[in-house]
Amino acid sequence: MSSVRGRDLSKYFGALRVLESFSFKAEEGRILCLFGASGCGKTTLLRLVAGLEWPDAGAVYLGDRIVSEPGRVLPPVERSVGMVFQDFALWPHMRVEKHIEFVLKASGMSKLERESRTDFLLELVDLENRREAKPHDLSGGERQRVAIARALATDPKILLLDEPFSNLDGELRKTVAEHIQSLKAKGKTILLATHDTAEVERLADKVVCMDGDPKTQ
Amino acid sequence: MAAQPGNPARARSIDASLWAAFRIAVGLVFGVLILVPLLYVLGYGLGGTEGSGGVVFPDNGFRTLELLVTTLSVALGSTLLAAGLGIAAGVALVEVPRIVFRLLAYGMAVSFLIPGYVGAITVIEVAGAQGIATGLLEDTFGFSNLVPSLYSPWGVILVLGLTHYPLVAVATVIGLRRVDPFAEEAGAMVSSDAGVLRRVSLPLAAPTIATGTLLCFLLGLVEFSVPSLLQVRVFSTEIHSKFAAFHDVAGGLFLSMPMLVLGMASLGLWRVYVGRRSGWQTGGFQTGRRVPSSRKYGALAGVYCVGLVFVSAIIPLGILFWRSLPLRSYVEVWRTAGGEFGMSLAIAAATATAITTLGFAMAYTSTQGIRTHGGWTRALYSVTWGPFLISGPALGIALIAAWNHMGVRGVVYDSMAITVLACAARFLLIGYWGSRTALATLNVRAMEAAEVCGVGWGRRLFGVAVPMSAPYLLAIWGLSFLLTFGEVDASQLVTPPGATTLPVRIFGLMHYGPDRLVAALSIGTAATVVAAAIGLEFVVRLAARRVDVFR
Repeated sequence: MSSVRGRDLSKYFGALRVLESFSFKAEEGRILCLFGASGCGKTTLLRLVAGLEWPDAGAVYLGDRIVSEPGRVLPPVERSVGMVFQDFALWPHMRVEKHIEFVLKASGMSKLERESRTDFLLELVDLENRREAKPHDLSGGERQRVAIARALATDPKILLLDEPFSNLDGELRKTVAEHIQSLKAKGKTILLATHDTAEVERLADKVVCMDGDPKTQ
Repeated sequence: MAAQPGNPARARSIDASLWAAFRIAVGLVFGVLILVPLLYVLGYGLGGTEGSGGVVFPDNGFRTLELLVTTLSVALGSTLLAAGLGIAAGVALVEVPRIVFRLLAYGMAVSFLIPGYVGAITVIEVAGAQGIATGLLEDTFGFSNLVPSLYSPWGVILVLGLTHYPLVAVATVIGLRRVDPFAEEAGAMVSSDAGVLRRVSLPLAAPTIATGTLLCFLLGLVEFSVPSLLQVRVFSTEIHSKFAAFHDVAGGLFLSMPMLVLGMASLGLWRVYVGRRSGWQTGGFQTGRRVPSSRKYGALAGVYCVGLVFVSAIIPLGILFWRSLPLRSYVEVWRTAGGEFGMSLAIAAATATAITTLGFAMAYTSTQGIRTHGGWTRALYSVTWGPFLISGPALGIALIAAWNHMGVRGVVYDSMAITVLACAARFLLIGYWGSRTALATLNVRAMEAAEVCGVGWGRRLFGVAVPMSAPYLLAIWGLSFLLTFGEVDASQLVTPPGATTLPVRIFGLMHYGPDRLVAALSIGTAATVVAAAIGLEFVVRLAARRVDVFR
């Protein structure tokens, strides 16, 4: 039910062809790595899956359901996917715990449930003692972990990770990689965009190489 | 793990319905505020009723051409003066130390924020029939040549140029600070400081400077109060005369058409010019130009800016203050015009709130729906320029035609709500375009992150977009407040009898000649505007720090 599939996807930005008849499949509970250099269309592909971009041709499936095709797109808010953006996209006016609570509140949880879930997630990403901090007071690694906790808040079955290691140093890379492995162990389907061969080798169950040429992807 | 809401499908359906209702409500308010008066303008102005085309073209073609020439002369002349003063001021401001920069920027802001008619009053006080300079010339040389030239387009150009130049100065500073520092460094390898400025920095900053210059042109095009006080006939004053003297609604509204066409054409040209150059600048601000100045121009730059602030703000206000003495004038003014002062504050606050709320709602609905209905919504909302471009008097006449009827419309028309409507329609473009800019400046991913996390439009609006835009919203509110507080062009036609605003009172008194009470009222207006501007700047900075906007 939580597999992700793209069939013959094309996406253009004006005259620029980013994706051309591109197909892929991420199995349930597996990690699919989208590997390629900057500008090859990895982020665009993740945004198509999230519903933030509309395809010009082809279709995106979540499970057996078509969620995107030209002219008909299920809004991102209704897809139940989690996404960690490359620049984290944190909300600068909110404290760390508020990031999670805000999402949980929108999902209709009671106050008690929200508090308990927030505590759980902050513990998971090792940010319990930074819960009162605002994004500009956090290091790059801490911001990343806030973004991961926020993406996990509503317990989505599918996770989209855009260059999750780009801002991390050696030790933190290892920690985040372990987090991702543990998420996979919990049955999450993960699409991970990266240009780092070491991370691909460490994490990928399946790799899709994107070389930037729409014809040869 | 996470608990699910009771009925997600129903919740989403309600959310979607509320979103549709919100968009429709925003569109309806926009229609009442902007489209209705514009339809009246087009209906009456182009409808061919008695006196419209007939008055303007066949019988009075030469007179209309004369009006066009004078209006364009005033707009272009004041723009050239403002651009000359402003570009030099902007370049100079970048050269001075930070603390001096802030003081000078405050001084220049005062020149812009003080209503134009206060500037005109000052010029009359200096060079009018009873003016200081006139008296000096007569006593010393036995002639007073300043007087005839003051009551002419030259006088209007002088006042408007000195009022509007800060717009170009600000645009120049912003433009220079957004130039890619590496481009300047590359230039410095092969050219002098002045060469880099002339051949690299200014050409790259040109799109932003063009925006400030365009605003000066549009403000000069539709200006009413300054030409009216200096007895120069332009389209806006003629529109007012047609209605006030002959109750010629159609003739008056028809005369707004050339301004609308000229305004739209200049906006179109600006769009073409800036559109081709949109990628020339960096997104962020540099704290100063990268190429180190030799500092040999720093002192000269400081002297120029201080001189400009003196000429455009400090000397005029000093003369007005001197004219308003003795100090008991202020007690007298408070006793006789305290009510108008309070009314002006209340109207300005209500209007600024309406402009900010509606403008942001319009911008939010048009940007959030960008994947579906964004295109036509944004095209429709571009019409916010209309009420501004037809000029204040034409807007006033259109509102009278639209609202001076029995029933609910009559209730609105007979109250100060009509003044709020007039000011809100005139300045809504600040709310809408300011909010569009604010939303474009936000990290788009932050909004998208909320969307992907399943946060509905209402929570995204109030939980993410509004708090992240807070500094911009406060700035929009503040600018709308200040402009409305000094607004006279439209409000002097629509304000109902019995109650009035401070600008309308000053404007009325001015026609009987400037005296110490008018000077005291003008000083009171200027002091209020400056105090409000300083307070707002403080609040905006606090809000910006909270959401990390300028870090």
